[in-house]
Amino acid sequence: MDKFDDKINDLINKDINSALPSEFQWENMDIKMPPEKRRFGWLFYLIPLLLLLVFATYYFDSIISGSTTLESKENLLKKDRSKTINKEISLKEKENLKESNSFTTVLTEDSSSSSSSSSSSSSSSVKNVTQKTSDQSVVLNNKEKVKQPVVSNQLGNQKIFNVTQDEAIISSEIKAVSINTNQNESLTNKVSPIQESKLNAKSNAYALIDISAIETLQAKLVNHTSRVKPLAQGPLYLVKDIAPLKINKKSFYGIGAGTNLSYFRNNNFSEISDSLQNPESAALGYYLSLEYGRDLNANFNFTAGLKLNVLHRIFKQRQFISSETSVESLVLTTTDSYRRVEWSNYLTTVSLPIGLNIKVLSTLKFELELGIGIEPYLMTSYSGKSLNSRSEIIDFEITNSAFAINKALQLQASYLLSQNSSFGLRIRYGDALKKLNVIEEVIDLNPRTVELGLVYVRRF
Amino acid sequence: METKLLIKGIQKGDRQCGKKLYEAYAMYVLSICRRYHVDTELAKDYMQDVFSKAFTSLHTYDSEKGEFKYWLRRIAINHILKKKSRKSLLEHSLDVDFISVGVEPKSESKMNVQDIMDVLKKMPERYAVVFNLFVIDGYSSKEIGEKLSMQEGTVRSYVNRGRNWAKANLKKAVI
Repeated sequence: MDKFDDKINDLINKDINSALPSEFQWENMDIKMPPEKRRFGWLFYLIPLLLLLVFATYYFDSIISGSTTLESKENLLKKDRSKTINKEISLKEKENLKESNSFTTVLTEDSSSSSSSSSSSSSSSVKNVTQKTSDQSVVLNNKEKVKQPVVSNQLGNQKIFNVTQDEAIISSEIKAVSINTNQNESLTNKVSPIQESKLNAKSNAYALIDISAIETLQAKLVNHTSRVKPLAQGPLYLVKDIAPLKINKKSFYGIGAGTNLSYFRNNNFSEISDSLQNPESAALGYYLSLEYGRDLNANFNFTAGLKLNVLHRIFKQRQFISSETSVESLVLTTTDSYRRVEWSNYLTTVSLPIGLNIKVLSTLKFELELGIGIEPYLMTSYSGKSLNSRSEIIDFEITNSAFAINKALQLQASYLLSQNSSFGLRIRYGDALKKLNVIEEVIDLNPRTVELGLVYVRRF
Repeated sequence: METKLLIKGIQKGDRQCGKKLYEAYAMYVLSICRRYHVDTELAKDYMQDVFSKAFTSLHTYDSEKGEFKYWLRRIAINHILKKKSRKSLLEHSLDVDFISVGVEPKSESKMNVQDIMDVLKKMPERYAVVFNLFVIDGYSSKEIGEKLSMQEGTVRSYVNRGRNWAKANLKKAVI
């Protein structure tokens, strides 16, 4: 630059102080202003998103717990049935006990009334503890009158005794059926001698009932009991053998780390590349992640986490060193010398990756998962070295945070170390979904990234 | 008001701050437009574009890297060069090294901005752009070559021709 250039520069710079023509006044211009900054504007997007995820989680969770309720209902049913069986068993025992008591009574009565007539011995077979009164003969007479048409002609008095005995048992059986149906334990457990006598008294009426009908009823009872047994055992079998342990541990956390490679879309002829002077290229960066996950069912799970990404960029500079001029056989030759300089710049972001994953392959020791998700992130800093317009090396640092969202696609292959832990290899691709804080043509805050890393997952 | 405060105000959407910053630098941007052969009517559109772009990108401005004026100048020049077609920069092939354009020679002390602006205005566009970039705006020949897709040698040649053209038409005594 010579004197003439200096003179021109001085004069041109003085021109700034002259008056602005009226047509260029502010009032006549239509200049875009930045929108009023909402300090936590990104929360308007994040909160509904999280609410949606929570709702989806509860929805899937309710489906899972719905099946659990069914299982528990089966268990309850099984318990009821077991209780019924127990009641039946206790009833049987009671009946046996009662039968033996009856026989004892009969034997006692028989022995005590051995001297009396056959009719009185037969009537004493249906005698009860409460019927040791004066009207005993009346009752007995009535009994005889009732029973006679049915039994006496065929079996005689001894037969009457047996039939009466059977009727007593059958009446207990009928009672047992009603108990089983109503599940009223008190009726069977509180068989007092008084009730027993009442039952025996009622047996007079039952004597009129056709025995074959009662046998049919008994058969039904047996059938009912035999039908209940396998049902009661079924759910027990299912609960014991099919319910996997993983269902009990639906939550898990993961720790991941790896390397990333980023690609910025518009890095040519933008303001930032002008000010930084150089085209940039990608280099390997790294990431660290911590995530929480929950199984939605056997095949699906969702994850949410926190991730620190450090993207590495390289700015290349072809730097002029010197120029040599030589004259060879009257020809002027100029040789310029350059050197290549590379600067590492780092872009740091903090992100909240949220994803939905599906198991596409699952074996005893190996699982393959495919996932999609979104990744809201905040650029926290962009710093490094560059050159200014005078080709001087300068440090630069952009600390203005900016928010954006990436969409992500992920593939993860995991090796199951145990039922509760696994170790996996993860590859993830991220691309811009929506730019929420765009710096027009200055810097692309939505770099495409490819990540390759390892992840350790543990269930709890 | 200090530029930094105005910038913060604009970032919050304060139009008054925008107005003040515009008024402080509008003439400077307008002079750039004139130097680069932008018509008055087009200049208004360009200024709107340049200031809109600057105001919406203020968060990328780093005061430690340089004055706001030079950051704004870079945006303005880039915008003007984007709008100018490559054809318009290369179509003139007439050798104008020593063609006088009728500017009255003056002594060094009497030479003013208007004279320079007149000369630049009448200078062929391709020379004027390269001359402006190199002599006034401080770009290196390499940067100019990258911006205009020219060889560095061609840039240097254009600078020399533009300089000679300006000298010849301003005042021979200055050189």
